[in-house]
Amino acid sequence: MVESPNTRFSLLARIVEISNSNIQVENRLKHICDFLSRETRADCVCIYRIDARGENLAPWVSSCVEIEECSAMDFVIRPGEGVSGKAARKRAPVFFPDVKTNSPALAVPQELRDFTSILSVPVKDDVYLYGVMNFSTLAPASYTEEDLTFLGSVATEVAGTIRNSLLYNDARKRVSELITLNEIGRAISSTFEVKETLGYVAKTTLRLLSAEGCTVRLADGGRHGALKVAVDAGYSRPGLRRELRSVGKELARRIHGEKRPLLINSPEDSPLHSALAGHGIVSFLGLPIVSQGQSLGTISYYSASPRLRFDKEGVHLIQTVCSQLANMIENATILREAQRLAQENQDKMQRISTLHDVARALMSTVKMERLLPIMLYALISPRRLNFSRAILFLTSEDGEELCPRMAMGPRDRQEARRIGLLPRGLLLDSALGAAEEEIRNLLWSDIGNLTIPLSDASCLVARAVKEKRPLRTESGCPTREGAGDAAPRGGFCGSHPASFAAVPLVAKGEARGAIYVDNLFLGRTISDEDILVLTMFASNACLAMENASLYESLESALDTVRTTQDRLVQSEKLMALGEMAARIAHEIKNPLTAIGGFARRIASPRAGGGAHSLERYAQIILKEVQRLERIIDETLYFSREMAPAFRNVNLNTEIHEVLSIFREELEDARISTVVDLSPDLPSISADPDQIRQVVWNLVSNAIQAVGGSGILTATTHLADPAEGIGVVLEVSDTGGGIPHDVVHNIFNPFFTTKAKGTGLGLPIVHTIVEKHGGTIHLDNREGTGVAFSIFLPLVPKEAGTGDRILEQMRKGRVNGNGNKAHPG
Amino acid sequence: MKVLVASSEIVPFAKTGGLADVAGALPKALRGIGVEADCVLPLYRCVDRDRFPFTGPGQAILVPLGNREEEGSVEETDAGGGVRAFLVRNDRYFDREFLYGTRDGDYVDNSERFTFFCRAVMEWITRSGRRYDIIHCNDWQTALIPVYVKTLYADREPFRGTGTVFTVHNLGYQGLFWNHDLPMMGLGWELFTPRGLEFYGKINLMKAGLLFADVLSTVSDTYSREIQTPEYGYGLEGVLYERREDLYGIVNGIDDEEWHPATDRWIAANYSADDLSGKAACRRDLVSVFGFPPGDQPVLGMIGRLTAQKGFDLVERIGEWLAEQPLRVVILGAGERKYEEAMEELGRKYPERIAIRVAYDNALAHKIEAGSDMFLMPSRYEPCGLNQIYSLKYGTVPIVRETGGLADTVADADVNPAAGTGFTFRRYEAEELKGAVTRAMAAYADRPRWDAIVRRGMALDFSWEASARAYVDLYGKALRKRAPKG
Repeated sequence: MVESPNTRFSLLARIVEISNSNIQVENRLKHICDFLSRETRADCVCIYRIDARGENLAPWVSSCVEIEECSAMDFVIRPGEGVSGKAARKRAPVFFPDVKTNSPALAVPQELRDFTSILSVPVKDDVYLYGVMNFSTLAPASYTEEDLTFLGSVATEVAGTIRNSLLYNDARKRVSELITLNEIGRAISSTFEVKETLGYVAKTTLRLLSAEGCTVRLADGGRHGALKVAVDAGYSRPGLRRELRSVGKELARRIHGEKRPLLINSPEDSPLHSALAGHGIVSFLGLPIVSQGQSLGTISYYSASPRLRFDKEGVHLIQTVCSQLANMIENATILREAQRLAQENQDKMQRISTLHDVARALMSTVKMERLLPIMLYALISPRRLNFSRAILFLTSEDGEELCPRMAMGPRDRQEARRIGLLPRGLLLDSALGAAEEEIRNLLWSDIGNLTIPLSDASCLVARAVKEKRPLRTESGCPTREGAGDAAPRGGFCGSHPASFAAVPLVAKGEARGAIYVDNLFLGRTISDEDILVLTMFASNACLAMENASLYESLESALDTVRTTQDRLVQSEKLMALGEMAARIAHEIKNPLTAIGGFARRIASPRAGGGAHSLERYAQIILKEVQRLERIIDETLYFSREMAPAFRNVNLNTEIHEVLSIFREELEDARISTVVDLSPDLPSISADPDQIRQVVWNLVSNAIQAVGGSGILTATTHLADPAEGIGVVLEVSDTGGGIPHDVVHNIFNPFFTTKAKGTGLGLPIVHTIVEKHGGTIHLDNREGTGVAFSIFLPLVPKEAGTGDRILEQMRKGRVNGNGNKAHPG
Repeated sequence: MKVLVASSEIVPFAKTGGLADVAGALPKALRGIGVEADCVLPLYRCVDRDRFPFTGPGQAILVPLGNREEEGSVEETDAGGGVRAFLVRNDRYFDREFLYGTRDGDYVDNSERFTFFCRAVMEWITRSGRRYDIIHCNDWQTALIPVYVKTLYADREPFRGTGTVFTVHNLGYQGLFWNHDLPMMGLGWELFTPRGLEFYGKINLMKAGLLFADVLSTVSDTYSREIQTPEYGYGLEGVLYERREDLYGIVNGIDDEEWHPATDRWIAANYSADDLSGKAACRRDLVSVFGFPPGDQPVLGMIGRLTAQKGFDLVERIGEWLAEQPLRVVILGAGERKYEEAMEELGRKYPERIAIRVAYDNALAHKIEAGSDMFLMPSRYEPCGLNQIYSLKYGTVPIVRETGGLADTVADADVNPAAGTGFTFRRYEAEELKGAVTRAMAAYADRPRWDAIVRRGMALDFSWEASARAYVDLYGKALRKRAPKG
């Protein structure tokens, strides 16, 4: 084959050179094959490589075809088969000089082709067999011992090349795995999102192992042993994942139970191999995710490529990942628990703050009509207590029934959705706002038929009131059975959801009513938490309702007081009128007697003859008539409204007028009067009738105070400019003054120290003076007497304003019905 | 606009193919139209350090590769024409006899070498405080740069607005590496999907460039359309079709100083379209270089790698036929051993008709372009092709297959008598090729017609300036894609 040792040496030198070059191993081997083919005149030099399991030989490179073509050939030579199989088994060169006439046992046709002689030299070192190298010729060939030694050396060099390359690739692969593991570790420790991390790990390890598909299953925390698919990755062939589901589940269950990795490459590994193979899966690797001796789940890999079978290395690799995963899942569980606790606390806080908001809202009004919608809306608002529907019942007067007072809640799903869209804080933080209408729409109009007899023991609401404790059920209304349309309360009973609750409204130990709530459109059951919140709410609501009803009774009491007051004023007036009538009767008795006497005298014939002094009599009658007229005027005043009609008034004149009325009374009581009126007192703008009444009241008071034998002083003078431009009237008496402990009451209506008096005198004085823009000064000297000093401005500058204010106040109270507009 | 042209080979530093010509000429042409352009390539052993002394101390860099950091540096030198060239130095990776592998195969650590190169470029830009508006990458060796710009370095300041352009010069070489190199590249497994970098279980760097660059281009319009079909797409037609909106074709220019018959220093006599007499002298010179006896028979030249891509299987098939024609055939190039041997065999058989020089020889290439009458390029596919353009410039009538850049630059003189500049055939068949050669010989016999064809070819403009302007347009598109929306 090869002529001389020198040539052999140079050939070997070239092969050593090629096999140590820094190019891809296939290129090196191909180059060696090409080179040997040229130099040994073999028609084909081909290298078969032993497969991953160390059994079959597969074509790798050949001098006849390109590298890609050769490794794509899909036949294998089993140990002992053909020339190569024999060489591999013997680990020694095998030569068939003429395979055409004497073919090897179990000949592999692709190996023999149309060659005549085939020499197969094992490619091995002192430990491993890497494959075989075949030298095939079309013509018969022969090899000397030297040739075989030479080719043996070549094969050893090739073995070195292959080993070298395997080591190189192995090192690179290790580095790659190391970096990937490092990254997986980082990813795992950087998050507690289990699902996300599992997804990442599945995808990454899938590619690292070049697997077809990967599935992670996690044990269901609750039920023992139930595995659920957490993550799938890969499965590029459509339908494969579904196909593998049942066998995958079975395998996972085993791994989970035994807590041991499972590697399936052949039927010997597991009886399920055939089931896998049925779906085109050639290799399976599954591992448990074990933490503290407990399997938390499994991770499984499938390979559909005959070139890729998982091995022990893969097991170790994924075991590392699994232990990291186990830690992560454990940690995540702890974190979730911590988060749940935190959430619980937060929920509590939330509830308290919600209740606080609700309480604030409930206290924002004392009007029952506003309070109740707020209450019910707080119950059904998604941002507050978040029930679906709420009904408020109040105990009837006789305590026999629960009467529906108000009910609120959506009537259908669409409406339920709309509630969620209502602005936050609506209604509760302020009084009913712009969306009041929206909320009022949620009120049920016809609730009359919802009345519940308290004796109805089957009704949860009635029972809650009777037992004075909240009740809740998830098994529905007892009326439900055989209810239908005939169910009580217009079919409401029996038609509401199975989960509902009732809380009593208890005030001062007495159940005043109850609240019914359900979650018709929310679909969740009512929890103990809900009941807790509801109870707290109920006591708040009770308080608010109590407040509101107290306020209502206060209001009505106030109304009564007002009416009484008005009536009193009226009766006082009447009493004054009666007194006045008596006085008038008394007053007019004398003039009438005089008039009558003189008139009779004029009419009767003169006894002694002679003419009557007609003129003088007429004068007297006229004077008396004038006096009568004045008395009538006085009287009329009392029937008029106390509205001032301003005119020019001379205060002195008015004082004289009044004193003249009281003259006889004063004389009878032997009260001497000191009248010191300033002669140059200017006229003031005032209501003469009212001014007269002021004087009248003061004088009348003084007379009564003095009782008998005293002095009444009336003076006028120009006001001190410091006080204002106006006049001052002073009326003082020697009646002993007003006791100190009551002096502050004297201007209050109905206050009187007299046995027979209305107590309206001084208040009227006060009112009139105020209306005139004046002031009253009281100088009370206990034991001596009292002096009223009244300042009246020349022009009552603020009188009009005062009137208008009064007018407005009155209008406000009578709700805009006031019509007694005052002339300015 | 600042542009960095990144390429694994750049003339005049290192060259194995047309890529080096483009990457060398483009920055100069960009400078010529006022665009600030630099270029970057690995510092190979073949870089002539006497001719291109380093200016100043290099920038030291540390390049992360998987779990370790590889040291390196970036040297700067003057590439001529105002262009600065940056040379990424790591002698372990690049101080080798060849660029990508020996003639027996690719270097076993190519993925690591060019990952290092790409990442070194990123690190160097970051460290040196430079900023480029555009990084123009070429073929798989630089394809990781667009990936890095969009992933690992996306948040780094110098790359926030950087647009990336990725030019495919030859889709036949995609940079396929095993999946376990992904961590070494610093990329997460999430990118290793069929819609990502994965290509039948391997990493495909060409695909990475196609997916991540802002704008894609190839070196001719026809080629850009061809590669969207399974016939030319090498499995990437799907990706290319998906990105067709961003895929453009720009024909390379040629180096007018290096390749011009009026100034060429390598040829026996200079000539121009006005005076073709020099071309006859060149032919005589060429004939004698190849040791043919003198004579008038037309010379058919071929230059290029002896591979099936360049159509040498067709040439091999019609070898005997060619030898019988009234022609003399000269071939320059190296490649697959079987074609080398086949051609050498023909040469031995017909020493007066066919000659091959197994080598890359620039001077001889000039002589062939100038001294031949016809130039044969029956490529199976040809992204752009430069030799047919040189031929047109040198009055050497090209006979080409209608594919890629060949289809874009040569018009058939029979189909289009008014504008024809050569002879073309469509189907990749020996008979078709024979037909085209026969038609060329027939035209050659008709001197006035032949001269017209020759002059039409020589009058065409294949300057780099036109190509550079087209690239600047492309850069604008890439920048617009990077600009914040709204």
